[in-house]
Amino acid sequence: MLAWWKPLDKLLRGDLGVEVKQSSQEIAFPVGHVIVLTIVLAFIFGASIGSFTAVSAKDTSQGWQQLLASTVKAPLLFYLTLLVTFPSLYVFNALMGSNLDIRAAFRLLVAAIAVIVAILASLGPIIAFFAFSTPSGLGGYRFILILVVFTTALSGCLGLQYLLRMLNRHANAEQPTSVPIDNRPSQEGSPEIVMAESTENRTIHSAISWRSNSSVWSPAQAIFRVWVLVFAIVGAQMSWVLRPFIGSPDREFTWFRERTGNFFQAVAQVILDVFAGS
Amino acid sequence: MRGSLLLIADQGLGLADRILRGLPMTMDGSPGRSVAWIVILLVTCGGTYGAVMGCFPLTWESIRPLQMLYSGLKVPMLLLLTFALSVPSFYVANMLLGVGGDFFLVIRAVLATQAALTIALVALAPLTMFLYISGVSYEQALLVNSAMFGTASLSVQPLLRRQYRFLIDKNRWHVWLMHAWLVIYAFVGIQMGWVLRPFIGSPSTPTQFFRDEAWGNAYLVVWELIVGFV
Repeated sequence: MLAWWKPLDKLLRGDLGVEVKQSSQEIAFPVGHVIVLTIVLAFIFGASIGSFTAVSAKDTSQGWQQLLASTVKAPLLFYLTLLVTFPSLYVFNALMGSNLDIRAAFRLLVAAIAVIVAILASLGPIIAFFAFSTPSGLGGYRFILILVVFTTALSGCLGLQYLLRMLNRHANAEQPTSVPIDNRPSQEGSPEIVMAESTENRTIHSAISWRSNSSVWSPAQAIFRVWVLVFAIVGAQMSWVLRPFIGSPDREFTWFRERTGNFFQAVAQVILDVFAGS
Repeated sequence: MRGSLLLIADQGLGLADRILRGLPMTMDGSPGRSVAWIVILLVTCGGTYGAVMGCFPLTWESIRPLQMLYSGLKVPMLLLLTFALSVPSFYVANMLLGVGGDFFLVIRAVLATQAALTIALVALAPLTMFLYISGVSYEQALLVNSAMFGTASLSVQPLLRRQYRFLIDKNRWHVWLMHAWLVIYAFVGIQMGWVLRPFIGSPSTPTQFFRDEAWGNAYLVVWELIVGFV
């Protein structure tokens, strides 16, 4: 019954379904399936944000429109960000001599987005609970806004850390000089677990680790880190371009707002307003 | 009839004792059953303390059976709804940190801690009733119950750590996760407690499940108090 959830479950555990093919490794999880799951989870997250407007708007039909808009826009946020940033990532990676081909790079990013969206969707019930119980005034609007920005930033950081970790693992796996996995001292420290793992010929690492596997970054890895930063900034700004996700209680419903300002300025302004008590 | 009731009471006390001591709950060896028992215990004990909360101000004339029923329902609701809202994100966090395989044990540990919290509350119930009888005001009754919840919450912290010790030995990420759980649970729980008001119900107002003006955001209220104070 839970078979449809399985691919995402594996991704969260850090299992990209790596297959060895003619001396090279391929990331081989079912991409289409994961994308569909990610879209559904993004709908859940979008709906939980939009529910604030649905319950608090004075005009009920406008509230429902906002709920619909937030639900539909949530997956767009992630995949449009990917669309904007993926070409540059691929080109610079290839220029720097990375061993990631275009398919592997794409799959890695789909996996990272799936992780980010899974974290957000799992926080959905909490956000929806606060959305339902928070009063509709300006104070409530700001509370929800800060809560959503905070949870999204947290999920983004975790997801991008996941991406770097997976990239390292992939890169190390392809270096023949790296220490064989089975000979490493196990972090878990339990002898039974080590034996069980070595028979399976892989260790169960967490998807996010205490420390990075490699201490020296190759140029391709350095570029990837820069790119992660770009992805985060573009993602934040994309949420600004696609706004409103949470309808302001004193404004009419629109699908999009005028194209001015930027995300960081706006968040700083809200925080200043909260402290100024205005 | 009487014999079977005694048996249930005996089993319940035995289970409560095992939970408080953090012993493995080998009622019949089945892990699924033990979780069911924990939930039953949580609902029973939480309901009992809730009913005690609702019996304010505890005089023969002023007893409000409906308020006792409502309060008795609300305490298990507070714990279980907070738990239900917090579990999805905790599940994803456990998966991401590579300890998803232990999730059943984790759930049982946090549920057992909540059950222990309700047992501690039941143990404090006579004290609450005694203070009610001594004639505390409604505001003082609120304070008394906050103190009881605070005491019970603090007293079960070592139990949570004990339950987690085995997990932490397996994987150090569990230390971090245990603290993350407390943060999420407290964040949601405070708001849940606010939304489910009144727990005691002022005797001067008619008994109702939710207050008309009840909903609202606990953190905003506190923030406005601070801003107003400054």
